[in-house]
Amino acid sequence: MRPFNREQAFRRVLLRALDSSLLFLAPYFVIFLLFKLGPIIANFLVSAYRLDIVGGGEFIGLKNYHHLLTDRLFWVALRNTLYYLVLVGPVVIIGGFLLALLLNQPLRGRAFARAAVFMPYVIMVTVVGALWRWILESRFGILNYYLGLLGIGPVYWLTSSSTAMIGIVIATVWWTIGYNTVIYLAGLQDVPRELIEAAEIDGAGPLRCLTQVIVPFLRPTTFFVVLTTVIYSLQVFGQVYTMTGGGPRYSTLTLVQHLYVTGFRLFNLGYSATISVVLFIVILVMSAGVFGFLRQNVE
Amino acid sequence: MRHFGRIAVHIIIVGVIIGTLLCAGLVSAASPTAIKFWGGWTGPDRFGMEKIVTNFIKENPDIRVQFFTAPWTEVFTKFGTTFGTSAGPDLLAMHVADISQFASRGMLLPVEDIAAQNKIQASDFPPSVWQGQFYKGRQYGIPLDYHPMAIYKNVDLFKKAGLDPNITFDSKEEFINALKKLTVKDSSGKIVQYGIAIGSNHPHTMRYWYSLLFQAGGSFLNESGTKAAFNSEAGVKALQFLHDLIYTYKVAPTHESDIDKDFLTGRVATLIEGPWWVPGIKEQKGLQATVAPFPKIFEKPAVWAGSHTLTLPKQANKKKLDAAIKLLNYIIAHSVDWGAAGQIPASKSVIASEAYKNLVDYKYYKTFIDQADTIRYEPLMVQNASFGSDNQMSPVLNAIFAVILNEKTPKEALDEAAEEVNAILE
Repeated sequence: MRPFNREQAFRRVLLRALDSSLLFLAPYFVIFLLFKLGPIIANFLVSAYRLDIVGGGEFIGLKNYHHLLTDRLFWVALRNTLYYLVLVGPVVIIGGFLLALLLNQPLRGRAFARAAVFMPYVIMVTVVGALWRWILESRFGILNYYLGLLGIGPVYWLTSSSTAMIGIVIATVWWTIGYNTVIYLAGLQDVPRELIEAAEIDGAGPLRCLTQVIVPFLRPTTFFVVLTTVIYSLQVFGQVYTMTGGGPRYSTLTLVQHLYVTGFRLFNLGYSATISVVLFIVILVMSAGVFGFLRQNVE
Repeated sequence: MRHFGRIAVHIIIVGVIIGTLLCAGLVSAASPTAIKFWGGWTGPDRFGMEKIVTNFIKENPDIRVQFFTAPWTEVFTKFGTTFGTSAGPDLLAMHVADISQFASRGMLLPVEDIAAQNKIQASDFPPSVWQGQFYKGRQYGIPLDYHPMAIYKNVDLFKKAGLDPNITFDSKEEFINALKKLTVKDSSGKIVQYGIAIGSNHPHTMRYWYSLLFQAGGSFLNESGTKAAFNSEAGVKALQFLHDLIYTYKVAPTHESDIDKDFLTGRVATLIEGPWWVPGIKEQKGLQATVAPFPKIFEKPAVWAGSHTLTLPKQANKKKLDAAIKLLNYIIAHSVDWGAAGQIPASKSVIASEAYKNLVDYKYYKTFIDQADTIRYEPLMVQNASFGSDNQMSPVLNAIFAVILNEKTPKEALDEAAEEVNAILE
C-alpha cells in the first residue's frame, strides 16, 4: 500500500472533476457568469447611481429609491402589473389544467387539438400584438362582430382605459395558455392508471377521482405552473407595448415598460435599474409566497 | 503512427489560423474605408434611403457603407452602448427633437464648419427647418427633410356628399360644415361613415392639438422654456375643439383605434397625416385622395412638424469622418430619391429641381411644402423626450387622451399635465 500523499490525492480529485462534469459545464458557466449573473449583480449597484449612457455616473446612495416613492407612474405601473397578474394568472392556470384534462381524453382529432392549443405559444410577441389589435378593433374587429351578433357591444377593447387591460389579457391567455396545458398534460400522463382504477373500485365517481386523486397527484406540476405564471406575468411587456403602448391614459402601463422607457428612451439608467430591483423584489416575495403556500403540500 | 497523426493535425490547424490572419491583413490593407450609417426608417421610406446609399457606393468605390435601419428607440439604444467604439455609427439620422438628447451629452460633433466647408448654407433651407438644428447656440444637424401634417380627403366620399374634393379648410365653420356632410347615417340612424378620426391612443392626437394650440395664439412652454404654458385659454380652446368633434358635433367616432385603416377603407372621409403617407394611399386599390393644408381653425395657420436630420457622432478616426461627411453631402444633394419615398426634402434647391417637380406625386407634396413657414416643432430640449408626443408615457399625451375619452375636462387635464411638465423642467 502506497503512503497517503495529500497533494497527489488532491490533484487526482481535481483532475477527475476537471476531466468530466466541470469541464463540460465550464463554457456555459463562463457565459452565464459574464452575461447573466454579472449584469444582475451589477444592476443592484447601478441602482445606487445616477447613470447616463455616457460617463461613469455618480453615486447617490438611495436617492433613486426615494424618487421611486414619489413617482406617480411607478405606482400606476405596479398596480397595473398586479392587476394583470390577478386577471391572467387564474385563467391560464385553471384554464390550462382544464384544457389539459380535455386533451387527455381519447377523442378524435386529439393530436391536432393539442398542436392547435400549443401553437400560439411559439409565435413572436410582436406578431401576437399585431394580430390581436386587429381582432380586438372596436368597430370592425372580428370579436366585436360576433359579440354584436349576440347583441353585446361594441366593447372598446383597447381604446378605453377601463377595458384595455382586459383586451391585453384576452390576447395573452390565447398566447400562453398552451404552455401550461402542455405541462399539465405531461403531468396527467404520469398519474398511475392503477391509482385511478383503485379509486373507481372504491366507488369514486369521475369528479371525486379528479378532486381526490388527480389534483393532489399533480401538486408538483401545479407548483411549477403557478410559480412560472407568476414570474412571467410580473414581467409582462411585449404584447402590451405593441398593442396599446401602455395607454390609453396609462391604463396598461406596466413596470417593465416603465423601466424600458426610463432606461432606453430617457437614458436614465440608474433609475431604470432601481425599478428593476423593485420588480425583482416583488417577484421574489410573490415566489416565496407561492413556495410557502404550495410546498408543504408538495412534500 | 497515432503520434504522427496528431502532429499533422496541429500543423494543419496552426496553418489555417496563420493563413486566415494573413488573408485578413491583406484584405484590410487594400479595403476601402468602411463607415456605418444608421437610421430609424421602417416604412417604405427606407427603400428611398437604400437607393441613395447604393448609388453612393457605386460612385465611390473607395468607401464602403453599411446602412442599418431599425425602430428609432433601438437605434438610439445601440448608439448609446456603442458610442466611443468603432462599432458605433459614423453618420446618424434622427429627428430634430432628439438632437438635444445627444448634443447635451457631448455625443455629437458641432457641424457649423463642416456645413460651411461643404457649401451647405442656411439660405438653401426654410428658416424654420434650419433653426431646428441648433442646441444651445451650436448647430448639430444638417436637415434632411421636414414633415408637417396635412389633411387627406377621400375624393369619392367628398363627391357623394356634394363637396369639392379640392377645397381647403380656412375656418372652423367651413371645416365643421364639411365634416357634418361627410358623416353619414344608415336607415336605422346608425352612423356608418364619419367625417374625421381622432385617435384615442395615438400620438397624432397630441400633434393635432399642438397645431391648434399655436393657431389659437398659445404656446407650449413660456418664452424662456422653464414652465408649461399650454394650459392657457388657447390650449383649452384647442383641446375643447377636438373633444367637440367627437361629442358635440359627432363627426368623429369615440374610442377611435386606427385612424389610418379607417381612412383607407372609407369609414372616415378625411385623415390628418404626414407626407410619408402619400405612397401608402396609392397602394390602396380604389381609393382616390387629395391633400389640403392642415385645417385653419383659429386665428393663424400653424401646424405640427417633425424633421429628419443627419448628425455626425464624435469620433477620432479622421478617415471615417471624412467619408461620413462625403456621404452626408451626397444624401442631401440627392434627396430627390428621398422625396420620391414620401418625405419632403429640406433643401430648397432640390425641391426647385426639375427632377423633384417631375415626381408623380409632386401635386401632393406641394401642399406640404407650402406649409413650410407655418410649421411648429416640439420644444428642442432634452426634457421633451419625457413630455413630447413621441413618448407614450408623456403626461401631456395622456392628458389629451383623457379628454378624447371624455374622462376629464380640457382645463382639468391640461392643468394636471402642466404640473407634471413643470416638475420635469425643474
